[in-house]
Amino acid sequence: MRTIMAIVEVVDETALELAHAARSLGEVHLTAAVFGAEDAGCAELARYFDRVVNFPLSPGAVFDAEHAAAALTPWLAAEQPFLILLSHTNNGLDLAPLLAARLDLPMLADCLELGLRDEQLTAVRTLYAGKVHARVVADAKGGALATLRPGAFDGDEAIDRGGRIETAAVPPGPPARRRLLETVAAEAGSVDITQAEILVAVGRGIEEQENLEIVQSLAAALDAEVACTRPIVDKNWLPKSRQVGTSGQSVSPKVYLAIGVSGSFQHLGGVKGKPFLVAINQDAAAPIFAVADVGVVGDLFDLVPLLEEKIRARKG
Amino acid sequence: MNIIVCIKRVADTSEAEIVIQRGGQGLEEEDFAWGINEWDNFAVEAAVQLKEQHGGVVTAMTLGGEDDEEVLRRALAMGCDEAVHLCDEAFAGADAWGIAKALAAAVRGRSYDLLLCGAVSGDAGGGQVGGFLAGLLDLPLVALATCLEVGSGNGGTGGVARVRHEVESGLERVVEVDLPAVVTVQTGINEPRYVSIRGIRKVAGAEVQVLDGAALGLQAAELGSAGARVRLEELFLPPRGEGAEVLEGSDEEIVQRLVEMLHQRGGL
Amino acid sequence: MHFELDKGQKDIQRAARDFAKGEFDKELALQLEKDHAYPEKIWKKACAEGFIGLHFPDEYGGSDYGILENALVVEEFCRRDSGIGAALLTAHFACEIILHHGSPEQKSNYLPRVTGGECLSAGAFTEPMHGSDITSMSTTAVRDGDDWLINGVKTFITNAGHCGFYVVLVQTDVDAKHRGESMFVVDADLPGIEVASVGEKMGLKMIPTGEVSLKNVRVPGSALLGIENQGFYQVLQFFDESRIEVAAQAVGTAQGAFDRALEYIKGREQFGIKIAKFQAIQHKLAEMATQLELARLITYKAAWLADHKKPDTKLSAMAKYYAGKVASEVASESIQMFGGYGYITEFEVERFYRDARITEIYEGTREIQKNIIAGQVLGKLP
Ligand SMILES: Cc1cc2nc3c(=O)[nH]c(=O)nc-3n(C[C@H](O)[C@H](O)[C@H](O)COP(=O)(O)OP(=O)(O)OC[C@H]3O[C@@H](n4cnc5c(N)ncnc54)[C@H](O)[C@@H]3O)c2cc1C
Ligand SMILES: Cc1cc2nc3c(=O)[nH]c(=O)nc-3n(C[C@H](O)[C@H](O)[C@H](O)COP(=O)(O)OP(=O)(O)OC[C@H]3O[C@@H](n4cnc5c(N)ncnc54)[C@H](O)[C@@H]3O)c2cc1C
Ligand SMILES: Cc1cc2nc3c(=O)[nH]c(=O)nc-3n(C[C@H](O)[C@H](O)[C@H](O)COP(=O)(O)OP(=O)(O)OC[C@H]3O[C@@H](n4cnc5c(N)ncnc54)[C@H](O)[C@@H]3O)c2cc1C
Repeated sequence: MRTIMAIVEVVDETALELAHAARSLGEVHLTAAVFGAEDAGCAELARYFDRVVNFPLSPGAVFDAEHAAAALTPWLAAEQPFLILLSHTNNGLDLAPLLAARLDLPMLADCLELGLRDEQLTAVRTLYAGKVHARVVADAKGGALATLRPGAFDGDEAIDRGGRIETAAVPPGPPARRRLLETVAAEAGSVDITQAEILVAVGRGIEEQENLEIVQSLAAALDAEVACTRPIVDKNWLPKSRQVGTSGQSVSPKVYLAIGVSGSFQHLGGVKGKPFLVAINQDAAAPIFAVADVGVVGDLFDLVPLLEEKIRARKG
Repeated sequence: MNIIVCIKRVADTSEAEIVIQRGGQGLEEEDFAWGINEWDNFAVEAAVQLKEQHGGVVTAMTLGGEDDEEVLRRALAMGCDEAVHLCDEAFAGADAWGIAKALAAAVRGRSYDLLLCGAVSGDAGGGQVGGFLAGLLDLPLVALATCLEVGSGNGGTGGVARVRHEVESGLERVVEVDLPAVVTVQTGINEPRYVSIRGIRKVAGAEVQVLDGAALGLQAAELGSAGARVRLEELFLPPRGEGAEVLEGSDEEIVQRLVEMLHQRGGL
Repeated sequence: MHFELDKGQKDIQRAARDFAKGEFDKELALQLEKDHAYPEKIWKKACAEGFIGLHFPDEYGGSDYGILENALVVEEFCRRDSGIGAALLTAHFACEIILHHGSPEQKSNYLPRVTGGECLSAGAFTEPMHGSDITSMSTTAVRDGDDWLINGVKTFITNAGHCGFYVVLVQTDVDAKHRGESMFVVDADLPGIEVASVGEKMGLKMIPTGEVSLKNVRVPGSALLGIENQGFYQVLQFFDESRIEVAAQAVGTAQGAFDRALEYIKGREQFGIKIAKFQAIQHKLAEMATQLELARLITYKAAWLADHKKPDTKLSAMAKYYAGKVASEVASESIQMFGGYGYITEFEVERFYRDARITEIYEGTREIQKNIIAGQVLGKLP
């Protein structure tokens, strides 16, 4: 039976997605390598994985990719799994390519689908921020590594596999070349968009800071809060606390109005709880339309003021 | 403080119609606007700012076809001092691994304290090249930097950098990393300058060093599609799936419908 | 012979494109037009990045580039936005006269202020009674000790009231017609200068255009620009260069309208198909594309000749005449392709048309260009 190793940063939904993707490849023996998990965390993982290997962390330490790469490289080299799976998260970006290079394995990054064809690993991944998909294939005879886009795979169902739980012996390596100094929480903003029922999210389609006014004014008419994509924050047009996405806030409003937002997975990764999603975008091929409930293909500079007017009219 | 910054020329397709070529191996590129990868633009700016503070030499490096020289010239005009173009027909069809191997070969033997990459590229977007380089060169890696400061460092003989980088759930960490190191740069780390006319003027006569596979000491089997571990089978347009209900009509009608829907389904 | 821009020129083209993409914005342009406001912020930034006066020498804040490089920048700016582009290209209007004929003091006093974004410049040639015909001027400059006293009215003056100085064409010898014309650099804040409106314009709405009256404006002897009584010839020489810039403005404006029309016809459907599939539209498109190509070629050639010390009056006139005509026609046909939407401000092509029309009027109307071309072709008739 083929062995697959899933590298788990924390015990959460992404771990179950890794498990599900691995099981979809056929009869496999599935191991989770996890860092500094509590007993309960290990037990939880053991319901989905055939084996759980816990890499202890020194007291107070947190998951760190550099440390993980140092610990995992010799272990994986010895175990020689058929496939190594990680999530394409920020930590995944920090760890996976480093691991692939050290282990000299082919790597498939940011996969939406994963398949097996003889000794070949196939995957679907995106190009151009989701406007194009590509089917790619890697020869996996000598092993391979793949990272999976969070949310692209279903989570595995718990059928309690009663996995064996082990603690890995991490041999003391050379002193770390990268040392954690501090963890910085996102600065709190004056408003908390995570509590809002209606969000009007604005993206790069707005073009200029001055133009934000029309969106703010629409939000006011809707009693909504303004949220935004990352590029808007990068330009300092709105504070980070309004950014939705994997490197921003997770929100779960009832209504999400995406205006001039292309719909990158990093942005949508922060939109939880299946809101009623409306997208206004002038590009009919924008990926946002694949996930929106309602789409309007058109120029936001025409539509947004008109929408505000109609909403105000209706409110009387 | 010597810095090597790896940059890539990519197509901006945000305003282009995507047409896949017959055979599914490429895209019709006429409509594409080409330019430096968004993340790499931030990386170049970061490198130039560090040089302006600490002195040293910044080298921009790209692997690509002849047209890709444009991004190197751009980097020079922004303030990089040297440019290296890895250019060889045999590189065609390279995967991220092949690109990283060639870059690593070009980097070896140079004196540098920092090797900067973009966090991901806007086209293929695997976010692998930086990590591969760290692995191949046996250097520490920090991915997704949002702030980058260096203490000392003088051409590969030590020193440290303080890097703030993004981890999960909106958290960031500040780490100290021994130099030389690979750092991948996230957008928003700075405000990239425009390419100014004076900048272009300054580098009008600058030479771009061109290196082919042989000059890098790479074998044909390691290059391009021959050395690729990941092969493209087919490009296709994303399945529309359920997709959105797209409202049709005049702006007036559309917006009216939308207001109704927001009331019914959005519970306004 | 080869027909390709060199690498440095392509770099400049890209830099201008990037700058325009980053800084110009349709909504902003529409607002500035409405408010008749100069794009102040963009102009300052363009100066800081070295786009204004890049064809001036280093020592005056330029980058020692040529007319062709300047034309490339003008073209890219006008392509992105005909109005903002025009405002930027006129920011240094008439400075070339100072560059070519000014004293070292005049050059170092005035040119760096323009390239550095401290002030705009203006060139005052046209008078109410002397437009196409500038072979004599009603405005006079009369010696008064070491000074000169200037009197007269100049009209249609770009940047009037918003500039740091005017380059003024005057009569210094009233009996000698064009052989008695001279030029002065006149600081805009001198007593006796008043600016009045010329009324609402068709286009170029972000740029101030005014009537400048000069009443006993006293300037020192050092304000004489170039050689006394050579002003007429200095203007003609200037036009040989400046017309290339107007031609570049025309090419950029035409291209901008064309880009928008092209995108539109690919999306718009009538009778169940994209209108780009109608042959009538395709033929129009083919003509426009061909015209654009020709206009660009002749403009680049005129610029190239000027940069290679072979300024060619005929070719400059041809470039301005032809590119101006192409701009008007292409912009007009772009409106046609948009149908009713073309007539609506929001869709921009009508603004490109309004801005295009000036290229057939200022710095010599198209009829005057034809006169020049014919004159050059015919030579002196017996
Ligand atoms: C590690 C990592 C983390 C990231 N985290 C986040 C995150 O947390 N949040 C986030 O948002 N991004 C994040 N990103 C960035 C993400 O990849 C995208 O670059 C970003 O989401 C794109 O933002 P956008 O949709 O505003 O811009 P674009 O992708 O440029 O889209 C703009 C859209 O506006 C449309 N448009 C333009 N003009 C108009 C008009 N006049 N009318 C209507 N529509 C118009 C265009 O058609 C286009 O679809 C992250 C990236 C990385 C690598
Ligand atoms: C149409 C199309 C077809 C493709 N076909 C294939 C294929 O057949 N097989 C395949 O494996 N891949 C294919 N690719 C992917 C392509 O080869 C990738 O560009 C390559 O894998 C690099 O990885 P990446 O873009 O994910 O880079 P990332 O790892 O996302 O890039 C991160 C950073 O690495 C650096 N970097 C990346 N590339 C370069 C470079 N060339 N020079 C210098 N620095 C660089 C930059 O700093 C960049 O910001 C295709 C891509 C496209 C758009
Ligand atoms: C927006 C704007 C900005 C301007 N900026 C400036 C500026 O900054 N500085 C400046 O000095 N001037 C400026 N001008 C003036 C411009 O250069 C003149 O308007 C132009 O030279 C024509 O002069 P005119 O208006 O007096 O027309 P006229 O000379 O009266 O011409 C009227 C008509 O007769 C035709 N015509 C005249 N003579 C002949 C002939 N010999 N053969 C055939 N046809 C002939 C013309 O082509 C035209 O069709 C500006 C004008 C405008 C509208």
